[in-house]
Amino acid sequence: MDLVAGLLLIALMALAARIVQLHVGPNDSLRRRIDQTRRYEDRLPEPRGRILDRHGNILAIDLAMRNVIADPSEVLASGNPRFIGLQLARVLQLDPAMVMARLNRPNRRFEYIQQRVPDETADLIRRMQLRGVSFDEVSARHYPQGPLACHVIGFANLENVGSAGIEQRFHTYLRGQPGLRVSEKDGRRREIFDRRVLDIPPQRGADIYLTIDQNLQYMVEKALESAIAEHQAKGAWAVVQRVRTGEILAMASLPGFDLNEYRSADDLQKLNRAIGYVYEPGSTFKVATIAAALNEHRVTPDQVFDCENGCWFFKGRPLRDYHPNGLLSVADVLKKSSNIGAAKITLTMEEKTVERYLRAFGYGAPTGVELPGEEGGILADRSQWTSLSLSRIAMGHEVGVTALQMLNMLCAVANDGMRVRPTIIRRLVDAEGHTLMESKPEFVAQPIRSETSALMRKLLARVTEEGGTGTRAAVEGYTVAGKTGTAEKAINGSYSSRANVSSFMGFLPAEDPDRIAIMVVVDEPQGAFRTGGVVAGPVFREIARQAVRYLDIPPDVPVEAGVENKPEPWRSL
Amino acid sequence: MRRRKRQNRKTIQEGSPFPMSLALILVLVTGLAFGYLWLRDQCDTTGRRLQELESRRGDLQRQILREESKWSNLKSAKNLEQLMAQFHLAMVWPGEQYTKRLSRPELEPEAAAEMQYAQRELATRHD
Repeated sequence: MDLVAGLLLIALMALAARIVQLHVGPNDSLRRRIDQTRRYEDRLPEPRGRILDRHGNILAIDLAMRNVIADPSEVLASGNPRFIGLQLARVLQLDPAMVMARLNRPNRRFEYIQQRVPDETADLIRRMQLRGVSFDEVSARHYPQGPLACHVIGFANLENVGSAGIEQRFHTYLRGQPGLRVSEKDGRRREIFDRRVLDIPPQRGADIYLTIDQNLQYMVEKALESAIAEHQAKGAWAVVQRVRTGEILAMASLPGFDLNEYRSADDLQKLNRAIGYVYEPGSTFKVATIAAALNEHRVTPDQVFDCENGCWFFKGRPLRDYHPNGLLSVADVLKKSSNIGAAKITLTMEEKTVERYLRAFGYGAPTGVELPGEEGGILADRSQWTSLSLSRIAMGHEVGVTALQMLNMLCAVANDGMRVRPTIIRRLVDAEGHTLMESKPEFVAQPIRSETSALMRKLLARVTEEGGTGTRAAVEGYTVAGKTGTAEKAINGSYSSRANVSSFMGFLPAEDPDRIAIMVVVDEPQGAFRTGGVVAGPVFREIARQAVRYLDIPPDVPVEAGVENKPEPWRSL
Repeated sequence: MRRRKRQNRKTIQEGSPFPMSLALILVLVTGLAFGYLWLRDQCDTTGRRLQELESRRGDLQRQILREESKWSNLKSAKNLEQLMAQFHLAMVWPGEQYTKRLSRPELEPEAAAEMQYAQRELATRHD
């Protein structure tokens, strides 16, 4: 008995000595380990800034969401895994077999059932009190309008890194700064508030206000959808821009995709064709070459050219018109869109002059709009031009353009010759409400004089009049100036007679300084009539008709008078 | 008669056997200890309250964002169109003949400021 007591005493003394050693002795490494165990460090996620339209409607926002997690071993231990699996599958709208397969893993303690579930759904599951089911909170990017303006807004990936559109281009502004909280935690791993030694709150990223108008964007997308359905087209895209300021009010490209489901979209759906698809423009390009010839005083609107009844051999190669024409004035060459007339007009200029004008109009280089993935188009260096090039470039062949480049050129023609950089950003505002950046019209170049611009406005207005190629683009009560374009697509090295790109670009009211310009392109429309005037013209009219009412742009032609204009309006200049 | 035993004056104790100063110190120390514990408890309570409020603020901020998102969705053109279809309503733009455009009236100087504000509102709505 005494022996036991003695041993116990010795053990207690050893224990006491160890306690003294632990508390008093040099145990820095041990203390560090204890401190580390107690240390509570919480990295506070930074909310990403919002993306809004020009009127403050939210297009992209960070929302708190929940991941639904299961502990399969606990679910199986509950004795009712089938019930739990079926309930989860029903509420989350998942395949029950898939949920059961995830739950039926006895050796696992952690399985995601579904990630990024809205709070409402998570609350519904929580109320069911399913054993072994828990949640963790995550911040996820949400796009309330779904597919609306998907190519402009872009998307942020699962790591919250902007990967397309504005999300990508302005990621550094949008992302914000994470916060940090350093403290100690108790036995239940909860933070002990009065041990908090550092608390840096997170900084929300800047909000970006776009020049896009949500409602106008919707109208444009709807008009394009109808056009695709009507003509069984491969795609369609359109841009609406304010001529004077370069602000883009709408930019749509179809087919699009739902931004909340961007992972299921393919690369073609993700392509913003308005800036990323290079095509041969066809007759819309005549606006640039004829404006150059007029600006150079090489031709006058009244000057007559022989359009050879629809077929002209130049350097041994035929050049054809869609409709045969005889003698046409320069004004009528534009109105009736004669390829032969346009070629003859362009041939009055030297190659270097034509190249200088085309580069001044912005061809061969990106416009500089604040979107990633903008193509610069194709305008070969003059040294690579052949003897035929000038006659082909005149009608929009041998060049590659984007819709935005074409619209930018048209805006310069409409805007007294001033080319303004197109912009899609209105302003950037930080979390405290300070404006970081405000977009202002940025003058780029003046390819043509103001007088030539005024003349071109008059000539282009005739295109939508009776006898012009763009009558279907006319809008009652407004003078619409524009140009049709139909280009055959080059497939496997030769032009296809079946696949073409139909386009219409125009602005209205032609003489109003607050005019808007619209570009519509329809890719590979089907049917007997696939010209720009037939296919893209009505889409233009539909967009323009609604846009002028929505933007409250007053008409410039009395309704009773219709679209009838006086003949030869350039004579008044 | 027994003689009363006389008490030795040297052994007589005067005052309390527990020194008053010591008692005071003990009371003070006890008071301080209790005060410390009370303050500690108050700190803990306030800390927990602050944490709750922090959490509540976070929840409210998240709720605001959710509501903003919902509101944005509700007032979108697509949603309005769907609702109109649901209730069999149809809307068209009014014809130009039904639209009356008002020209800017001649204003008294006093009324000018108010007009400018109205114009600013108009510009925001339609710009």
